[in-house]
Amino acid sequence: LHRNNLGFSRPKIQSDDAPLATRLKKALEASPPPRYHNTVHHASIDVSYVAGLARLQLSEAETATFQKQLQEILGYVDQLREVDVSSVPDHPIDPNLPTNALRLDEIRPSLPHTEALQNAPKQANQLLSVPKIVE
Amino acid sequence: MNPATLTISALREKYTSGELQPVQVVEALLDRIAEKDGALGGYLDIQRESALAQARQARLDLPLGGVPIAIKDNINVRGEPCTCASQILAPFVSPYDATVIRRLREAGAILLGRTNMDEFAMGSSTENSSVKPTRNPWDPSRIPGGSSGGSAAVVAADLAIAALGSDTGGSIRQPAALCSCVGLKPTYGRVSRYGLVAFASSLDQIGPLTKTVRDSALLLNAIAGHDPMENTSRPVPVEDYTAGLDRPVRGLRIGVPKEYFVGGLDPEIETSVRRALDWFKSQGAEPIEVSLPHTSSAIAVYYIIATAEASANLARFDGVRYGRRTPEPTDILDLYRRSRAEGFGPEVKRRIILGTYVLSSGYYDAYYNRAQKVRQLIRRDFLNAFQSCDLLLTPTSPTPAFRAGEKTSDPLQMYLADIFTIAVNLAEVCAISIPCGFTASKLPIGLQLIGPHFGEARLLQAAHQYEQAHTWWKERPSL
Repeated sequence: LHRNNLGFSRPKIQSDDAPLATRLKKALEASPPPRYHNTVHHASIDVSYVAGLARLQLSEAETATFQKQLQEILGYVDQLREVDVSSVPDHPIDPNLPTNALRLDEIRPSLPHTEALQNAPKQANQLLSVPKIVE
Repeated sequence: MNPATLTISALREKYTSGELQPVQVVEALLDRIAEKDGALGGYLDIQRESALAQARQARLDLPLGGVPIAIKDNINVRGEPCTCASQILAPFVSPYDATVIRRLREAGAILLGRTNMDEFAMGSSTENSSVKPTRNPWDPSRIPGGSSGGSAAVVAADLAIAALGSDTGGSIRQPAALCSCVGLKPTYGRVSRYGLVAFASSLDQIGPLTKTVRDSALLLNAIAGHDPMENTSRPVPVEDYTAGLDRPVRGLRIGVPKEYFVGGLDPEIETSVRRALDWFKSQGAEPIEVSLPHTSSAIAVYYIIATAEASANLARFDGVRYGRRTPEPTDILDLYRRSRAEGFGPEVKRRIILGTYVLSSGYYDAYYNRAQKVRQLIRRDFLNAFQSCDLLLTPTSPTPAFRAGEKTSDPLQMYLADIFTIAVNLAEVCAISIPCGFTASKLPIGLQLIGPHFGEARLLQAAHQYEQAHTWWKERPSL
């Protein structure tokens, strides 16, 4: 058992888990995740489509301005294609960042209900109010 | 002597001797703000009654007892507005204190008011504030830098004793350089960001803007340290950052990255920075040429990683839980789209769209994952450089303060202004900007010293030694 710094333990993967792990590994190898490294050249951005993904309504004038400016910025950041990154692993893990810090799942003091809701633009019955979502 | 012009250490001495009382200092600051800040535009909000009440109850036995501090408007102070200079947060009142605010209160500080900034800390000139621009106290036709432009301007103009800012790509150091004050970006993980409105979570750090390096150390003493509420704050012991300030710099190995002294650097800035290097040499420090080969990629990496993280962080502003909500939405999507359209300014929208794009299906590997890899190369550059030297010496900004409006229509030009500060955030190391001279037209010039991870003590020591051997820090703008 590993013991973390909060004093409770988590089980190590037991040897009888191995068949599952092996099955997973095989399944992943059989269908590798899609890779896009060499599929995007001379990238172009469709600002109105991306604004939709970002839940932002843009005016026609904004769309036209951003289209031009973002195309230029993307042209600039395209220089990263020229950098040799072969010495860096595929999904680099930042060594300066902590791993998950676990704590006991205990009830602790938190923001009172009324204060948590004090900034809500619309509320009803001590709940956040939104337009009807389901018919 | 106007108490508003004092440093933290000078103020504390006058408290100890009984020469001054906190209420006198707060009143002097409030008077000066009332007189000067209309033209400067450094503050968004002054909590007059609260500041006076805190002054009356100040405990002078505490390390920052009775010291008034201005706070950047993206740090939560319970019961006060926290708008990030954005219309989307115009009605917001903080229900809690950020950890740095709790620590400042515990150290006895007085919270004076909230300072202007680029909206959501996105910008290098404070022109992206949705409320008003802040002027450079040395030349009101010029920008104060950004995004902590309000904090830098009020410290330089003696409208605050000291201030807190936040630095994601240079937002403390660049305005400090352009306004002639001291700006420290601590190591990533040194100061808790709990209660800082998140912009780019893998880069953001809170830090002090002060009149002297000693004041910077005093504020860092108060705000540094691990916080169980903030998983990226590190349990590295907090030193007394004032303890080693008086040690000489003899034997210090100072790295000069050759990539930072190339075309585009203003000649007057280059001259001042090289003179600073000569001073360190004259004191027995050893200059060493080093290379940070991936410097030219830093801005591109930053504008992918920072916008990606911003697009995720700013998804929370949806018109439902807090902030502005569009009137009479037709359905939930309309509520999101219009609340965000009405609440965010152009630079924030631009970055949300860019960040959404680089994270979207089909582009993630080409942009975001590649940027993460190049970030690791930038980080390695710094680790390699610190094998052969203790600190790096560079300019803070390639140019002095530019004219208001000069770069607002060309976002890429604005981004390039951060060339010397951005890599520090990507590598998560610490850096400080201190005054090192003026141009012929009396615009401030900043010197940047960069230290390794958790190397704040030596960074502050070298900065203090340079500062005290010169008089730049004593010069004040005429307002």
